[in-house]
Amino acid sequence: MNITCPTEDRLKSLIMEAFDELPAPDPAHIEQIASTLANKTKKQRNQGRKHRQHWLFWVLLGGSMTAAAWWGSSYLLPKQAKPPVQIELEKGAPEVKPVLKEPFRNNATELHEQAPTQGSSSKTSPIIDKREQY
Amino acid sequence: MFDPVALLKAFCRDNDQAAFQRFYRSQSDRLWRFLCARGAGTEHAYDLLAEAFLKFSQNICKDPRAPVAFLYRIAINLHIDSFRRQQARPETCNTEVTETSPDPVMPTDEREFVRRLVKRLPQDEQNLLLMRYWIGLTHREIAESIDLPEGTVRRQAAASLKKLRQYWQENE
Repeated sequence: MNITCPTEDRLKSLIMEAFDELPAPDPAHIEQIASTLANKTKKQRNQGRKHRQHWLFWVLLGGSMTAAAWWGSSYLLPKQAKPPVQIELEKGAPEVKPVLKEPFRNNATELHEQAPTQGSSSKTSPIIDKREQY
Repeated sequence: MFDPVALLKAFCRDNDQAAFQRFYRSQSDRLWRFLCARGAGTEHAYDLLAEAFLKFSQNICKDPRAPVAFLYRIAINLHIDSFRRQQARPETCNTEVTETSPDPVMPTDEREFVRRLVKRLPQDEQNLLLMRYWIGLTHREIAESIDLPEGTVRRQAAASLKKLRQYWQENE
């Protein structure tokens, strides 16, 4: 029997028919695979959830540690000297010069210190006179 | 109405095992026959089927847009891997299609003749033709599953069909 070449559309449908009529698999075997697969997928999904919880735990821990370090950094780091405050004077305002006072001198002590040198040159100093009396 | 994408979205979103089982039952029969038609042995086809669905369940939630094409891609890759591992020609399924080198003599049944002619095509073209005209995947789905442009898949499908007709005419 000679089979003539079909049209393209007929050939497409022939492919479908030809492979559809192949023997079907054993239903018991298919069911067995289904039950095995159900157990495995359930386990996988549960494991996936556990992994996700672990991941979340580590993210929260890391976040809290970072926040604690940030808040505690002002206590842990050494204090730095504050920069000097510069006050800008208004333009046109008279410059105020600080009044320089002479440093305090204890004249009595100085005289006391200078006494031996001066004493030798002028014999009229009353202090030297007193010393000489002792 | 059966919608594989909706079923798998339910599986991924709500861990709906029943939805996954429905998808499995809708596809397992045809996938097993596809593997047999591609040269896997009867028992080996069951193993490949189980492995393919397991891998599928592990990865489908990343992108459940074209699940059927993705499933067939996994199955084809597993079949190729097992073939390479064996380093030998795969066993043929204990079905009507037992010829690995098709008999050029014209059989009386048109369908049987088509199966023999398809077997004469290169592996990639067989996959393409079966996925397109038997499984009913679109050009786009096939293109996504084998990482080729849609236009290329369209051209290759047309060329394979033309080649099939040419074989037919040669054996008329």
